[in-house]
Amino acid sequence: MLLHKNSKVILLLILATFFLKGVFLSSSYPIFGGQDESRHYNTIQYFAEPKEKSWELQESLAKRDENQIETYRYSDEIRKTIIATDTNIIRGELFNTINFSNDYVENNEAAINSLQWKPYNYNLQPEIIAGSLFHAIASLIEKVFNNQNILVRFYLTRIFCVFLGTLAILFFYLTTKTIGISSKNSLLLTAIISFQPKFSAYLSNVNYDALLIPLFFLFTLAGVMLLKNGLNWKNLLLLLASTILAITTKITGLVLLVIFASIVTFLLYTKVKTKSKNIRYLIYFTCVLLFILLAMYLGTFLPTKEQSISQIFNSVQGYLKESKGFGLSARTYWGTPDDSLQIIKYIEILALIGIGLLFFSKKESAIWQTNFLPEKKYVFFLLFMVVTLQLEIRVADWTFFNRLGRIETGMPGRYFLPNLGAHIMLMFIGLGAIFAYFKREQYLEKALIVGMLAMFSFSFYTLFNGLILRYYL
Amino acid sequence: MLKISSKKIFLLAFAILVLFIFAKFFSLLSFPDSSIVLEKGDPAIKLPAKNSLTQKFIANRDNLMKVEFLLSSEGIKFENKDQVKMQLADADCQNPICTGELKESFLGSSNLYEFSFSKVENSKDKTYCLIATFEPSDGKGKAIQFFVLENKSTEFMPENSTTGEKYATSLSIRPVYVNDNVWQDLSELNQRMSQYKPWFLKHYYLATISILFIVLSIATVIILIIL
Repeated sequence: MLLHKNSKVILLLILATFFLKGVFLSSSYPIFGGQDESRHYNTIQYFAEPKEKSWELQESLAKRDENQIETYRYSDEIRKTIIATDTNIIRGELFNTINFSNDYVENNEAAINSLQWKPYNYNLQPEIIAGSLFHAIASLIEKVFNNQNILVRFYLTRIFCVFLGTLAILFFYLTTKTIGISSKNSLLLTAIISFQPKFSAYLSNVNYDALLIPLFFLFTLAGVMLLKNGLNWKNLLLLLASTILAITTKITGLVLLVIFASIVTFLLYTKVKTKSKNIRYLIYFTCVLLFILLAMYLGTFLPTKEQSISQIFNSVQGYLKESKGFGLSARTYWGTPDDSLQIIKYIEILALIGIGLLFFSKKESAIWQTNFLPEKKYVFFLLFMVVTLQLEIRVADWTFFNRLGRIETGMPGRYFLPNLGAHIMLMFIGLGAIFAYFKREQYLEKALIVGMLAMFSFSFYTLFNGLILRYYL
Repeated sequence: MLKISSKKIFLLAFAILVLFIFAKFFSLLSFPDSSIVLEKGDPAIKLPAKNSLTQKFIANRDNLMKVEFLLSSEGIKFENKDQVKMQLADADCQNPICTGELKESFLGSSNLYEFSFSKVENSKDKTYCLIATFEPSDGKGKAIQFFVLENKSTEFMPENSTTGEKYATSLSIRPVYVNDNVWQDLSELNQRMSQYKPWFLKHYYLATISILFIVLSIATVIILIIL
């Protein structure tokens, strides 16, 4: 009862903590210190430029040097800020920092504050990321604060990303409640997500994933609401809106089309199965037709038109050999110290066994009598989310391999963060299923507290004994 | 509902974890001379087994407590019990002030090593001599390699004191300092973190945000354990 009354307050506390932690993290990373941050920020500035160019566009004359980021085709302001803030030193060796002054203000801040550099791209082919909803929205910050220096605008954009992350946390909590997880366990799961080190760190950087991730979380929420309440316009619109917004944010969002089509088909199937044969067949035919059209559309992204089956088979075989499994993904997904990864792997295996028990155990087993775990339809939906994104990322990685004959970017863990919510829920549902199987349901709460303590520790440890050490000591 | 004893165990575990994390943080809280950019300069200076290398340097601040070295990864592997014995001596390289060993840096770089010692309080503007002696576990056949920097002072040329060979470059080293107390250390960290940041992430604002997020994080965990 006490918890029920206070659950909103505790949720607010978790959200406030996540937001403040995110702001602290965003101030801990030096300017342009995040993944592809300079390119994303250049895209934002490009979006914010006046449509009528009053300046002359030129071919870039400077030769692009990977180690000298100011040679990239960025706006004048970004390139000169990169030089002023010694960004190349930070991007270089792990053991070097910028040359700090003995004050709260650095020597070149006066030059940055003077607004003497234009936030315009003078290159005919500026280095930008293909048009994205995220960049368009973030460009509003750039426009509204155009009389402020780049430090103000850049860090405000980072804080905007933290705000988006905070929304993701809220969507996650609502999802756990919707699928029937208890208030206490929902709050514990939400705290676990909010302390996940990679999630917090990544959402404090300027990157279009900062919008994609909450949209995936919103899609998950809309999906479980549809499964709970059946087809209704409100939930359907939410599902459709999150799908479209995700696609316009990043191509990764395409996978949501498949899940969207699947979930709507499933709900239509359950709705019309008692209807007349003609209506049923019409609906089934329409669904099959839509799936074929969707498959044809997604097929246009695959580079297989001019390849024989055997060539594709050899290419896939070569890719599987080269890609070396899940190592890189796992290492960069959790953001925890490497020593912890083995333990996390064992917990994931246990959770997988638990989910197997949930679906395949005999009807007489204790797992069928329990009511503290979400219904199987939700578990299946979450599994489907995880599996489809895994497939999409790996197929995308293979298409690069197929074209270039080598692994281009691999699969860093951040690519899978949009499904972190589904993943964490599945891990603890799996553990819960094992506890239920052995009639030890009360252990789930303890497992969640241990999970929260672990994520808190990893989060603080990597921040204070990793990030700060790297950039400031 | 958890039993009281379980809650107490979790709270105790949490307290230990928080203490461990912050104890580690404060043990790492020291300030390398950021005006020195360490480089992997070639050719690296080889130090064969049982040989000693000396390098002089001037400390820019008081409270010298560590010197960082950049070693070529082709060389010593510390896991096989090889040792690099270190001495910090006076300017004449005659009177040792501190002794110890070269150890891998906590940063996790494969090239960065450090020689830590009790802080030398009045170190500012004084010249010190570092003496490194390589002692491999099997006693022979190996060498370690120190990366080098351009040497701006002929007075401080590294020398193999066993063979008498002198080198025109300087070892790629960087002195590390602390302040008189931990508050000054935190203040200096705040200064460093405030640089190239907008006004709302500087100085008092940054300090407030950090205190708030730490307190709220700890409060969140405690509340979720207790309820």
